[in-house]
Amino acid sequence: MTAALSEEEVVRPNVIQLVGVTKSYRNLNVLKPVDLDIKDGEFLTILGPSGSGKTTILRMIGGFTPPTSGRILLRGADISQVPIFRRPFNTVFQDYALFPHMTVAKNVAYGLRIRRRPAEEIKTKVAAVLETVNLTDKAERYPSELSGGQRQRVALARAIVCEPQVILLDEPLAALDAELRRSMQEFLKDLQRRIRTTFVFITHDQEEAISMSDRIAVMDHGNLIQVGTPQEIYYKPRTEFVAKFFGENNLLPAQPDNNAANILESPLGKHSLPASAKGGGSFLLAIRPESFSIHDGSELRQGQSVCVGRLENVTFLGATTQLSLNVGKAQQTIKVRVPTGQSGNNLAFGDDVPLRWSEADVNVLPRG
Amino acid sequence: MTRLERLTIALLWVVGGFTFMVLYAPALIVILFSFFAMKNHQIDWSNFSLEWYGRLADNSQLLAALYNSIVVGICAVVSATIISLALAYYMKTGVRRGRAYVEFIIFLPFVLPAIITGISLLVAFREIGLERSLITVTIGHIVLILAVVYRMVTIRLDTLENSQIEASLDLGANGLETFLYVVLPQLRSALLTSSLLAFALSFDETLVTFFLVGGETTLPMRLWAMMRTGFTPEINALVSVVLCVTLLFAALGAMSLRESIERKP
Ligand SMILES: Nc1ncnc2c1ncn2[C@@H]1O[C@H](COP(=O)(O)OP(=O)(O)OP(=O)(O)O)[C@@H](O)[C@H]1O
Ligand SMILES: [Mg+2]
Repeated sequence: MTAALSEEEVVRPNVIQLVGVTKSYRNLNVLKPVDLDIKDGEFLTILGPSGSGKTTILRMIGGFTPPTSGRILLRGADISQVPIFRRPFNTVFQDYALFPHMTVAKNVAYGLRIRRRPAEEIKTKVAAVLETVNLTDKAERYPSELSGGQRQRVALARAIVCEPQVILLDEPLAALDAELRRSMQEFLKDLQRRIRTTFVFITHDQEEAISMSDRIAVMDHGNLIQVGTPQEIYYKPRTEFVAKFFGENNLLPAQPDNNAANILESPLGKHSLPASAKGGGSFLLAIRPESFSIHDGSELRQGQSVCVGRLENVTFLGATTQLSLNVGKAQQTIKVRVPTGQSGNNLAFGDDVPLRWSEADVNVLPRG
Repeated sequence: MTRLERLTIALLWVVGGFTFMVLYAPALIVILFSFFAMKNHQIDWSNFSLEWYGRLADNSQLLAALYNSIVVGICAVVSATIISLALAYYMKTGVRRGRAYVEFIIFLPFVLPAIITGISLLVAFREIGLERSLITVTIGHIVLILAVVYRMVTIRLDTLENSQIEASLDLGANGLETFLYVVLPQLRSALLTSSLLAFALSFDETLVTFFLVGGETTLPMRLWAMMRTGFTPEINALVSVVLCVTLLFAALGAMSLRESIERKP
């Protein structure tokens, strides 16, 4: 965690920049103008529901599909006209796309052989990469003789052996079962740290995105909605879609106060309207269940607020306990998650429970 | 095993054996005949000899026809294979408009009555002033076998995932390298079987050939011509040789087919 933070401080140059890139098929706009900077050495995840345009973005970076408009820059130079085989990127395909008529070693050596590297170099590099992915003993096997996870690692080895500037991965873990998937997640993340290559990784699994990424780009319906660190995406969502997409969240309606233009009123009380949220109309407040705590009566710190909720339900989740409480005049239900020890055993249904939270954890979102 | 099962299996053996006999007995008889001398149009069973093989070796007309058939067959197969490969790969690597029409035109000569194909080609060649010769015969055979070769190439190519081609490009190979190292090796057995089949079609083609043949003739045409004067026994030797070579190739084809099935993931 601390290591990640100190690395953040170093300003990383951009490897790839998408500038106003769009894609349409006939009259169908599958990608609205997208601007995205991919930084050197980062693990960037593109996350979104099915059909949101994730693969389209990846294929445009790789050169498999030309963008309808906009520019794709590699370290500042436009590569729109560069053919696939001249781009310094390598792709791990969802179906692995291994060559069935070549052994594992031949598959991995393919990129180097095409580049006419000396035989000695190919041999040592292939051996080293197979070692990295733990497939040394499978070198002479054919892909049809491997398990799904092993094929996956061959595909990975085939991509990294070419030492590309960026590795593109299109849902590489989708076909694996849950357990293998988890171990491959760790393996991938670990590998990325070791070889310090930029990874652009596609998934539609939120947990996978949060646990693996340096940054996440959230897509929906061909729009790039928000780009940020997992913490930013989780605690500072900028739209309702992002707020709902990751884990549990409380979304509460909020109206501008009749008397003061920059004060919002919600079931939790009054909030100041941040400058970034402009316009009239109504808003949504997003606040995580774990951002609340039970108010013990001690003095409030700067920026903290309290309110009272009526306890409706208690769910024991192990280390944490989830409370359902009704708040405000409209008796809006909110969820609160507190460490199990803190909830105490003396809470009874119908009790009024005092809650405390920090205004900084409240996100004001445009509604709609 | 119950009695009924045993009975069924026995019956199957009998039926199978009978079918086999009907199919192959004539061929076996011909082979047998080729090794015995002939006396007054009767087989002389006491006289084993290789005489007919010797006579065959001296029959320059028959050998020339055989040689022509082989040359025409090889040329037609090679040309049809190259055309099919180029066209099928072109169709594979992108959305090509008019694919259905092109394929229809390729398949047409295969389903049209051969007489129509033959006459059309004859008229066309006369119009452009191309003399009838082995070249016109070869062109006719290409038109005919293209359907088979193209079909078999596309069937195999369709099972090749596009992502394999993309992966190859992604790893730095250009279109030609991708074709040579990724596509072609996986088409090997399909090409071998289609070549064998196409060669067999070309080898005994008579209807279209009939319209296109010039001074030099092919083996089937030569045999038709000999029918009028009656066969000489060296025909038996010829048939035996052709049969053995065919069997050899068929076995080769079957073996390569099995290998390709086992290799598939
Ligand atoms: N060749 C094509 N022709 C027409 N529409 C296409 C084509 N390729 C993709 N699309 C459309 O573009 C949209 C985005 O597709 P894309 O494959 O990028 O989605 P995705 O986010 O990768 O989804 P998934 O998670 O299901 O893989 C989809 O609505 C899809 O139907
Ligand atoms: Mg996709």
